[in-house]
Amino acid sequence: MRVVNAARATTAVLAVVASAALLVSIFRPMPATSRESSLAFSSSAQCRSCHPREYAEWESSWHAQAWNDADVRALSNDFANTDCIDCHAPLPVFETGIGKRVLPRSSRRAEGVDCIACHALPVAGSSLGGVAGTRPHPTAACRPVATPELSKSEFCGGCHDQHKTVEQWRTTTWAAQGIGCIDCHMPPRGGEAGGGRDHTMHGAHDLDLVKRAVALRARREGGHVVVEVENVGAGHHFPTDERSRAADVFWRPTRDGAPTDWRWLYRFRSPYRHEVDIPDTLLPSHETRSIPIEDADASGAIEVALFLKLTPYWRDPKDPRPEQEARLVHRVSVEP
Amino acid sequence: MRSGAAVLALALASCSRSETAPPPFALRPVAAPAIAELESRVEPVPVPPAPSETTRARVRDAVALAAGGGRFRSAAASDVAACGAEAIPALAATVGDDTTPRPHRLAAAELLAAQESPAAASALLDVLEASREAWLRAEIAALLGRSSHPESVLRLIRRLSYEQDGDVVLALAGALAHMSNFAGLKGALVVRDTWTDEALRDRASQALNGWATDAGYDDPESLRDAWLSGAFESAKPAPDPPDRLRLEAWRWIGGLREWDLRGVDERRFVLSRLNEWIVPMLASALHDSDPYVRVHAAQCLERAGARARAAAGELRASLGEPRLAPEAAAALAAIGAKDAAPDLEAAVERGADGDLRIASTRGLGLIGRDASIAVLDRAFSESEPLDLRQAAAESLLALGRADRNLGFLVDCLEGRGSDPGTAEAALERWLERALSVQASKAALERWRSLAAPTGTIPTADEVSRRRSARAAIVRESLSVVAGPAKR
Repeated sequence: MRVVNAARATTAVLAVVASAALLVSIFRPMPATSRESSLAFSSSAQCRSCHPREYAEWESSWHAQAWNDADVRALSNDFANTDCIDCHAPLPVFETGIGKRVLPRSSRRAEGVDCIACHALPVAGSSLGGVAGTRPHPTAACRPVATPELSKSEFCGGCHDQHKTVEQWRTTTWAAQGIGCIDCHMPPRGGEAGGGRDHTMHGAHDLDLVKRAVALRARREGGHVVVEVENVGAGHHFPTDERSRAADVFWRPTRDGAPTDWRWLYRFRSPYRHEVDIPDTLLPSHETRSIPIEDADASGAIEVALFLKLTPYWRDPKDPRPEQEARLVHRVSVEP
Repeated sequence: MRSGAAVLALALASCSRSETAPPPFALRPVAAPAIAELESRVEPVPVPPAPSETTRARVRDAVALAAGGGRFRSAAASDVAACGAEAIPALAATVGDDTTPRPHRLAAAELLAAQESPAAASALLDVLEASREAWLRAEIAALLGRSSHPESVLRLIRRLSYEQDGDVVLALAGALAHMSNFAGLKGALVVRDTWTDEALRDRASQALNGWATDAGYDDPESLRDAWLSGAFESAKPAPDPPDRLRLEAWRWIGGLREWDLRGVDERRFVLSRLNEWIVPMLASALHDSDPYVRVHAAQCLERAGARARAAAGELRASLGEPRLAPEAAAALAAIGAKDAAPDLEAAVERGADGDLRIASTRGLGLIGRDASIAVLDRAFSESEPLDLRQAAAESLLALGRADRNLGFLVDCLEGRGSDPGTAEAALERWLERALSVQASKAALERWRSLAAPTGTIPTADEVSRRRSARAAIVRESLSVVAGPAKR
């Protein structure tokens, strides 16, 4: 009995010493050459057995498709545009630090933005690495350390500010109210606190979310139709993601109740580097853009629609086919 | 008890490891001190003062005089020179003003170039980068090529990366050729071979032939090959860059730490295309204490390819720096450092960092040493991670091995591997090398016919269908083309 107690006591002491050593090593400044975090966990698959729900959500997310998604491959010329690699297959955010940009990794690129990218915490001097979580869990296998930075918008900025998204958010009333990236893109599961946050990370691919972000209106005014697009819910410009996204307003007359071909009216987009002839027309949060239709054909009944393009280029720019190549966000009718 | 002791041992080991291990690779500030040292010797480019009304009027008169003809040019240049630095913004404004008659704008550009001051060259580059008028960009590029401001080379190369107008591509390539830099050759060849405007294609052909003749080569392709392989500068080393150019280059290297990845990509594009005097500078930047600087410096050396072979020693040493090692491995392979193959083979073996293993595995395929096959075979074993297996399969294919790895890569092409994109590229290269086999030639033609039309971005479904069709082509051809000639 006494032996058992002594063993327990020794184990307890050792555990305390070990925990202290681990904490000391976690908070010691990271040396410039540290790559320890990637050694502790070598794949997101290692997270699956303990976190099946989070893993399944992540696996279905666009973070998980960041490397192999066909649109990304096409837009990056199969990553010949090497500046895309850093964020589409990143080393852990904590390895370079919050507010700094990430560096690229060479292995497991097919996992895209993986569990490790956000949760791996470098532990100086250790080959184990730590795990960043929202709350500490000393008895869990990965022993997560409470890391409040995980839920801050700046955490997302290392990658998403490369497309100015977090910068756009900072100027909004959402930011002033303390509503950040995860409040829309990582909501509590089931809408209630305590159940953890959804790791699906839905965004522009989620049409319902897009529909809530932007409103489309059209009315007759002074002899012509005025279309209004308002950014009512996005915590950043609409659309965000320079180069990768565009949104287009089309309209078409209806004759005897039958629609005719769509006619292009306006594009929301930020120009990519070499596109010096394209104006920046992204719609900032809370703003409304009014676009008149100055065409005699619009005097009768017309339809107006807002389409979102996940890649900005039309197959034939002179003959865009929105219904085939884009996603319908809103459609409104205007009577004669 | 045992588990408690293990935890303690692990924790103590974690505390002591960094203290006991000697630093494998010396890190220190490199770019910042180099910039500071050069700044102490190089006179800064002054910001030209805003021109007075008198200066504006004199510049206007001088421009009108110069636009009138050659014999008035020197008089106009003297008038402008008498105005001092104030003339620079006045001339630049005239060049960029699209309401001013073209001959006057051109004359203003020529007068600006004739100023022979770094501030004037910088003002011309500003217009070149901002102007939407292709003719003006072409004229300015030509003027800068003839001027004596070698530091312009960095911004000329950067403009080249974005230029879409064929005439301007030729002008930029010509300006660079005038500076003994042939970074523009590739673009000029694209204009010659693919542009729809026949007259422009002819101009490109004439220009290319002229540059080749001037450089002592029979044709532009030979010059291109010599430039890319480093043979050109082995035979005709570029002169040591003046301090002002070295300062600019160090500023571009130091700027690799900047936030914006687009800017980083521009820097990589430019730094990897400068003459070979940049190589020792990039090699020393591998030691920079800023991880962004050293990682991206290694990427610049990788992109410079064989022209950066002088950095092989520093890159081999960089394999000992954990954060830098994967990029160093990729760079060693890209510069063709065959001596480094044993280092990369050792890095592929189990126990090394996952990123380093992948980069080394891919690198061995590029280096192409038979002795690497045993290591790559082990990396291809089923117990290894999928991405390492795919990298090994691709490298084995590059080395001429086409057995189990070939079927595996066809599966990867259809999405059952780690990266269908790299599998597709590896299989295409393999088919290209197998061209001596008639059946593979037909297979390659069918393979290529499935490529997306130039200028179109295929949809996800189209990519999936293309890859399935290509997988079928390889499967059908396996019996005929397996085991093609080694490269």
